[in-house]
Amino acid sequence: MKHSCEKISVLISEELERELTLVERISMHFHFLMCGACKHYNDNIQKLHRIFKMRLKKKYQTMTLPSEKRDIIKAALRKETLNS
Amino acid sequence: MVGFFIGTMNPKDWLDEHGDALYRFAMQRAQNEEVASDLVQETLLAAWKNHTSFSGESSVRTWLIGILKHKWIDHLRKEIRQRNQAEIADGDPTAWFDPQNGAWLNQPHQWRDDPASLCQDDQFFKVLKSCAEALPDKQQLVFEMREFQGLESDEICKVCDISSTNLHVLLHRARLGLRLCLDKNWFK
Repeated sequence: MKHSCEKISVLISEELERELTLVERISMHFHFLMCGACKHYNDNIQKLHRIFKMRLKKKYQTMTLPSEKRDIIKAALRKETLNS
Repeated sequence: MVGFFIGTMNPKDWLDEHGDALYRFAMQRAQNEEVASDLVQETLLAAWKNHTSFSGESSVRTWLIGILKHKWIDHLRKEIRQRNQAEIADGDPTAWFDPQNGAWLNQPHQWRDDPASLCQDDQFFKVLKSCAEALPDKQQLVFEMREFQGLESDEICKVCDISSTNLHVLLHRARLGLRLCLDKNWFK
């Protein structure tokens, strides 16, 4: 096997952090044709990343600033704007 | 021109119009009400002090979020300094692959569960969280910033003062460890 699984697993992680080069992409996908373990690893890691993204979006999209916190901030702003 | 901006810029209006959006952004990162609302307050105060520097090229919200990002990074830096994470060693990746040919020692298998249902499953997130907590400290720290808090790679590099190469290595090791832990404790 030209590219070891260890090297491919690095590319699989880095694909989430940076744009892979064309050569890197081709060698990765070519490796997947021959290696089920790396293909599964890629699927697992991609799936996990997607779950985190969906969770973040869902969890925070409806959240609002609690009113007691809002009052504290308002008071701090009033004090600051009066001073200047 | 400056007078025009001062006239339209009132911190109380910012709070009314953008308070929730700033709070959401801060909560997503800090995951703590106290810290998040403190960050919103610091952001609005800093915005007021520097309102003459607002160029009007971006929207007020983009400008405020930009300030909030800086406040968040400052906060993290302080926290990291306190925890003194920099000295902690990270795990050894050679244990994952055969040193002879670089093949998997513990072969990954397919995960059948659907991401959309998993992302709503609190039990799954409990397992995920405990798997993350079992990682070596430095890996855990960057992985949580990246995936649980949704920071971009370059933000994490700035906060932790590490190179992107270094970050990639840490994330790679964290993913290897986390995946195996989930394999054993969830997708068995």
